[in-house]
Formats: sequence, structure tokens, C-alpha cells
Amino acid sequence: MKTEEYNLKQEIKEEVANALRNGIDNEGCAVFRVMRKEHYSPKGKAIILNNDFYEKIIYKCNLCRACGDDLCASFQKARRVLVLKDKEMNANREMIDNLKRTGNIYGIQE
Amino acid sequence: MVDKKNSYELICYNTDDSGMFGEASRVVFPKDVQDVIKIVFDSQNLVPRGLGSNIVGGCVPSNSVVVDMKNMNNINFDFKSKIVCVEAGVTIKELNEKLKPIGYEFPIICNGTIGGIIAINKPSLMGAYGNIKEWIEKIEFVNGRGELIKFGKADIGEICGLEGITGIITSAKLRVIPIVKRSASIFQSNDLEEIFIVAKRLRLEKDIVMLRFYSPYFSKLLGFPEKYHIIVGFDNEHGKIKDNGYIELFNKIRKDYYKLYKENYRDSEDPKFLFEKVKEFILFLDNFNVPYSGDLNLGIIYPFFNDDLKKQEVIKMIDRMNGKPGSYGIGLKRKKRIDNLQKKIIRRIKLRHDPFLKLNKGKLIDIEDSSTDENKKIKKDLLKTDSNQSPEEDMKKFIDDTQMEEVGNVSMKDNLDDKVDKKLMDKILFNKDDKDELDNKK
Repeated sequence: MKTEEYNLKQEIKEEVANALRNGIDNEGCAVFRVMRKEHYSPKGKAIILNNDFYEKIIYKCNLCRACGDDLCASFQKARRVLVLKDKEMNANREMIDNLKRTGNIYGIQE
Repeated sequence: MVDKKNSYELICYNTDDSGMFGEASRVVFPKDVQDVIKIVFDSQNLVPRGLGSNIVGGCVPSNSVVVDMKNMNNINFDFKSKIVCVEAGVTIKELNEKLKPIGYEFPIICNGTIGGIIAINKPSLMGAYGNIKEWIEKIEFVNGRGELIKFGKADIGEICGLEGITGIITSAKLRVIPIVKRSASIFQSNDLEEIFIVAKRLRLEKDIVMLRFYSPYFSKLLGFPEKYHIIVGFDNEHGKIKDNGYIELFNKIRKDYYKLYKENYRDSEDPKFLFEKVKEFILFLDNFNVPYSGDLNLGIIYPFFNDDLKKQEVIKMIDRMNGKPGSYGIGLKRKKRIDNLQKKIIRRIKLRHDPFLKLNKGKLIDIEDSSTDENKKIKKDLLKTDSNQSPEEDMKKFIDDTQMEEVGNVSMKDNLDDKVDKKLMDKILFNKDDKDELDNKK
């Protein structure tokens, strides 16, 4: 495990445990309101992270901060961990490639 | 369906807002009543779940199948009767968002799905509107036998407030009211005596729907001066805080407990007293330095704890003052708070609707499986009716059974004839006496 990945995981665990103790508002989450399953909810994702599961479900978050700034920051860090583990979304990879190649995320040549 | 193969999804269902942990063996997502009936027939240990916001462990599974009701989210509004038919998975927030464009609202404001709130019989944040039980016209639920039960107002007590141990609520018909423009005023004082004189007077006013009370420490966390505060909610625009200011204040009150959670006060109780007793309890809490909020309309006080010793002392006081659980429910955490008479009544209702003890095991009361020999017999009878044979085979079996019965009858008759005293039968049927027999002989 890379040092960066390890440090990030420790930070996430602390932040998420704190958020779980302080209470998380599920009802504000737009993704949860559409998907209607616990693992899409902010609380569900926090539990998943707290149990050291880093799955692609973490990408199913709008990063809209409706569940709170601290928790949202943890989800961003979790995405970073997934990138370090090469568990990246194809769309993300494509976007970065496009950016490197053409200077825009859509890959349109000027 | 989610099972152990993809356990990161399953792990979310092991807990609720209580912080207690159990183990879910499977999660199912019914979409209609037929799905729920099928699930009840197929599974042994079921835990219905809505938003999972229960703080006393009401939906913590114990190697159970979790029935996630959130996919049952239909809402139908009947303009004539002004009654809304809501499925169990709809949250109060969603219901009010749907009702708002047509000019109506449901006044029981709290967190959770309709099914969950009915199961706990939660009160509204605006205390004058009372508990959700008072707003239910009809309710539908699937009991532990897999039967769809429809109850009117009179029988609501067999499901409402029983925390899902008698059935899985599938839908309810609720009364709604036209949207009211509300406002609020804040009353603050250092003198508790003054607070209670004002509260007593305000409780008599018809257009006051909310009397939210805060201790000085809690007030400070909410951004008010460190004094006792009463937030007075009006059902009209007589209050000083209106429009956006009111909405902001209301949202602050709605999630007020988060402020105390952040200060490490993560445990709470919800005793309900007669209004005359509330002051005595508050004086006790003040002496103990316990922060609290309360609803003076309903007489519910919410003390918050960061210390187990203090909590035990306060619970002892609640028991001495005969405080009843107000809004959190009983769940797994507070089974000791129910008295024996209540336990007996709940047990009777539970066994009537769920004789096989399938639903929400271990919540509210403990019932052992061994005490249900009678129920096992019922279960056997029920299983007899379940046939995997084709209708033709069933009919053939039925005809064979009927013929068997006839044969049986004949043989029984024969046996009867053997046993009956022939003399006695002649006497009764043909009026023959011993004299007649003698005459015949002559």
C-alpha cells in the first residue's frame, strides 16, 4: 500500500466515524432520493468507508455537499484512494486523456 | 435483492441511527403489496426498514431478512375527501413536496418514512398537531401470516405504535390540511417560573401550534443568548418571524439535536409527563447540568447525555415520576421501560397477527418460540393448504378423499348397529314392549 493511500484511508476513517456519531442527513441527498437504496445514501457510503470497503459506489455521489461539508470532503478523499488503487471510472479516465490530448474534456480537436 | 455475495451493500443495513449493530442476512426491495406477501411467506425472520432513522434500534437486524420499503413510494390524492393514500416508503418530506403544488400539506413534521413513523406513532415537531395516529383514516399491512389486513380508525392500535412486530405496513390513508402560512416568535427569560406561567397561558391559544423549549446551554448552541427559550409557532402570521426567517428558524429547530451531538451529547431520552410535572423534571435536570429541549404542548422533554452515570440517574427520576416514552419508541434499547400489563397486551396482539414470530424479532417485547405450541399447530394447518399439485391432481385427490369418507361412514354405521341395544331401539322406534314379544311367541 502506498503511503499516500494509507494516510488518506486513516483520515477518511476518522472523519467518517465522527460524521456517523454526529448524525448524517440522508433526506437531502439527491442520489439517494432517486436510487432509494441504503448504500447510495450518505450514511450508507459512510458505513461502507468505515468498514474499509472502497468500491465504485463512492463515485455515485454528486459531491453537492447536501450531506455536510466534512462528509463530502471524505468522499472526495475516497475517490482519490480508488484512483490510487486503479479503480477509476472509464469516463473519468477518458476525460483526463481528452484533457491531456486536446486541452478540453470532450476531446474536440481545435 | 442483496445477499452476502455483495456484502458492502449489505453492511449498510446492519445498523440504524441508534449506533447498534446487528447482521442482515439478505435485503429485499418489495415494489407492491404482492411482493410483501410473498416475502412474508418465504422468509422466517423479517425486519421492515424505512429510512433507518430510529435511535433505539428499531430496525437493527439479528441475522434477519431486511425488508427495505423505500421502493413502495406511490402517492394518490383524493380531492373530494381530502385524503391522501401513501405507500409506506414515502418520506414526510417527499409527501409534502408532492402536496405543496396542489395547496395541501401533512402537518406531522418529522424524519422518516410513513411506515416508520406510523410504526413508532411519532409526534409532530409542531406539538399541537399531536401524533400521526390521529391523522390516519385507514391503514393496510401484511401480518405475520401473510394476510393483507385493512384497518379503520378503531383498530389502528394493533399496528400503529407497535414498531412493526405485528405486521409490515404497506400503505395508509392520511388526512391532510390546506397549506397554512405560519410564523413564530421567540420568548426568552432567565426565570423558569416565568417561562412556565407564559407556557401555561400559550397552551390555551388555539392558533399556537408549537411550543419548543430549550435549556440555556442548548439555546447557546443554537445561537441564542444563554437563557431559557420558548419558540412559539403560530398557525397564522401573528408571530414576529415570518416568511424566509420562519423557514430558516424551523429548519434550525428540525435538526437541533445535531448541535448537541457535535458537543458529544449523543445519548438522549424522551420522557412524556403531564404538563404540571414538567417543571419538577426540568428543575432536576438543571441541578444535574443536563442540557435538554422539549415540547411543552405534548409534555415531552428530551434530555441529552454525554455521561452514563448522569443518564442512569435521570432514568431513575423518570421512572419515579412515571414518565412514559414519548417519541423515540422502545426498539431494542428500552424494553425495560414497558410495564407488565402493557407487555401482556402487546404479546396478545403480536401472537394474533404474527403467531410464527416472523416479524421484527426481539423488538419491543421478548417472546420465546417454545411458548407457541398452539401456533405451531396453526402453522401446520396453514401449510396443508399449500399444494404444489396441479388443479386436476387436486380435484382427483378431493374425489378420492370424499369416497373414503363415505366408506368410513358405512363402517361406522355398522359398528354403531353392533353396539346399540336392539331391544331399546325397538322400544324407541316401533313402540314395541316386552309384552308384544310375549304375544308374538304365543
